[in-house]
Amino acid sequence: MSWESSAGFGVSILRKMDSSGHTDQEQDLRLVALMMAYQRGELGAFEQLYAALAEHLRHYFRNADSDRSVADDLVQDTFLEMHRSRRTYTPPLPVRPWVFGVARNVLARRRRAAHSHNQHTRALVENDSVPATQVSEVPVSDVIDIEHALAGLPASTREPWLLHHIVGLSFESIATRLGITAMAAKLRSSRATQALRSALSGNRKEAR
Amino acid sequence: MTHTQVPAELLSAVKRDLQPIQPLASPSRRALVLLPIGLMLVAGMPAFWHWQAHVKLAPWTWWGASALEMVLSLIILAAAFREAVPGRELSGRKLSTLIVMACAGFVIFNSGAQLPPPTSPHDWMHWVWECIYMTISFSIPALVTPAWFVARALPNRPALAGALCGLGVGIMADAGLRLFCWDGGTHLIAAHGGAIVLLVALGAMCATLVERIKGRSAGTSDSLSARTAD
Repeated sequence: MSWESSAGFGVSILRKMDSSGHTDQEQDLRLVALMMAYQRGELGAFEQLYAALAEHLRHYFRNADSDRSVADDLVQDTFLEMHRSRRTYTPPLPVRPWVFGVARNVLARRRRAAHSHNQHTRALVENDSVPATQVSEVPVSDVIDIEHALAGLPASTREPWLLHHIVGLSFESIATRLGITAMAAKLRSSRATQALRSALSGNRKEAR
Repeated sequence: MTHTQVPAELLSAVKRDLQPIQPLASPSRRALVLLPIGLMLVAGMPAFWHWQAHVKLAPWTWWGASALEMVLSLIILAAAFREAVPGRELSGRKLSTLIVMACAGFVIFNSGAQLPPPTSPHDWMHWVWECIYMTISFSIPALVTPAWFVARALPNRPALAGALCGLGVGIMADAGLRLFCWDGGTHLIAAHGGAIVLLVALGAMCATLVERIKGRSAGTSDSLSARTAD
């Protein structure tokens, strides 16, 4: 799905999902008023904007990106970027196209960052000298299964797992390398382990 | 699962820097701010390179064409500033209309340039490089302000926004260049057109670079969590 079409999709679901009983026009006017109050420095307006838009942004990110686990992070990044770039909103233009424009920018940044992380990780794994004895102890069929299962994982959980279990880095080092907290690195690696375990057990059941 | 409560770390980051701000002016107003820079390019370039004698000889219709070219450049710059604002990106139709307008304007406004280019290839090359050098060296400082305007916004297509800035400044510089360089034909295309193309490439490169740097310094919610935890 292209960014433009996914943004259009975002706006359309936002319209469909307005369950507060307001018409589109009323909702638009309310958002404009909130945005103007936010530009004047009112924190309450920001909180109301978050309440009105967060869920729609989450849907947008889930539809625009196959990696669903990062949707919450992206919503938070979008509101942070909205805060930094709030002067670029010109009242009384509609707020939603601006918000989804910011969301597209955040998504593009995340994709660029993920791409460069992937390249970096690949280079690390290729350069890493894993002892031959460790590799030879694992049966070839298991290695293939693990590779398949790893390929199915989202990049955000695969990288910490690879960096910890294959490259042998500590969670603190991984956190520094990926620009996340050590706790987040540990959590993502753990999620990857669980996903691999379930994927491998599923494969073995199928083989039997 | 529905989360309507603002996460604590996001709220504290917003609270830390919640001052009233002035929204950016409309793209056309911001483009009008660049009018003095345009006038400086038209009047300053011949003065700086000692071509006033040629400028004095230019017929009044050329001045009129230069003024129209200036207006065209401001329209292109306004479009670049609009492109840099999230959610206000130019549609394919508007973009192609703008590019056709720029090309047609360049050809029509320069149709008065009737002097044949020098016959010797060496002279031809010399004049081409001279025109490119004069335009680029004088336009790069003029490119800084629109590039800054673009960088202050949040372009989703930074290369395009930067390229439009380069195009606007290039057309603006051509409005001054055409008053003292009257060569037509291949010189016009290679030198004057070439300088505009170089400025377009430079604008696209600068805007992409600035956006990458901004992206890196902005960080993500993960780094936000880390900062809050610290």
